[in-house]
Amino acid sequence: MAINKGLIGGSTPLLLLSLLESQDCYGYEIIKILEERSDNTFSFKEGTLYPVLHKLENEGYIRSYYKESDGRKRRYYTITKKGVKQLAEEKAQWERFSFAVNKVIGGEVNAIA
Amino acid sequence: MPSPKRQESSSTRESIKKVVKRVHFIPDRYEIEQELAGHIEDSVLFLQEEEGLSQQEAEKAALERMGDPDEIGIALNRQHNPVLGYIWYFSRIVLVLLCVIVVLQFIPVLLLSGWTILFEHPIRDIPKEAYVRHVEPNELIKLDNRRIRITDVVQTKDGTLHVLYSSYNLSFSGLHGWSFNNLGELKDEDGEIYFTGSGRSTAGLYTRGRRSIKDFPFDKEKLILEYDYAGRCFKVEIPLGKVAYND
Repeated sequence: MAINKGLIGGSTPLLLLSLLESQDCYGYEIIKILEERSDNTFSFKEGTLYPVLHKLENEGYIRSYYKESDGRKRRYYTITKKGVKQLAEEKAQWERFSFAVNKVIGGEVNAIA
Repeated sequence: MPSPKRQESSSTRESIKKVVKRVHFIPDRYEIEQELAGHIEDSVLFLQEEEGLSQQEAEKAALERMGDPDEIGIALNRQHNPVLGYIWYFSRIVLVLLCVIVVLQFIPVLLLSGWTILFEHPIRDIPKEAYVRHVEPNELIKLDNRRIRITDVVQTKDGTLHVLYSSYNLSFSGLHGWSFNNLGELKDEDGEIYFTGSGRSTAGLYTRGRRSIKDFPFDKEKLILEYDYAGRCFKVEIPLGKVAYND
């Protein structure tokens, strides 16, 4: 089941920051990894990734640099110290949020706690 | 993987143009164009190789996956604020220009200082044969940030007493290349005051200079430099030694 949701949605910074915490990526690479890791659960228009990346960069959570790979100059994104802090905060928030949602709908709380 | 060469078809180019048209901060447009073009190119290649689509089909699908160019452009424009962008852009240009101006300003002074250190020795203006007495007091005078070292005192046959010094400034005001080397009042041991009629000095951070007193009596044995003004003072006594010969 694919969840069709604009990438501007609330959990996107969390996904991007956690992805960039493990490795530096360029835009298309991020799309591929997200598809792979989420088993294509998230389907969104790929172009909407860039406004989010540029927003995170403006906020200082990530930084971009150019590097050549496969014979082409690509814009890579890397997480900053500020971004790592933000990620921890967003993770904690997400956990509180999903815990609460699960409690309300009577789901298996232990599964995510 | 074949090394991809950037070949944008007109439909790709058109949708990218549509996106960047929405971005009002023009200096950022190029980077956005490059980034999106790279993405579409990767996507087209992937669709051709993995899903066996033709070039045309792949491109159509890749653009479809990108989404609505206007929507993306509007969202990007929000992140590329023209007001802040231009302020940042021009302040950077101004900053670079200021740095260049400052550096250019200092170049003559630095060159002059280098020239002075290497080549300027006012003592060489005085012919050695004319010396009747010569001392090297090596006295350091400290006045505020300025340091003046009296290196030589030379009297010549014609009676002129030359005071030679080097000086530098501990503060950056010296970078302006302007300096005033105040040696204070020049006296002999009996309190007679002399005026320096001539002299020369180089410009720069490090300078060497000469002050000359005409007709300094040969029988005086000391030169005293004294300065006392606004609570800052120094007094340096320089024994001049005996006159070697006087004809």
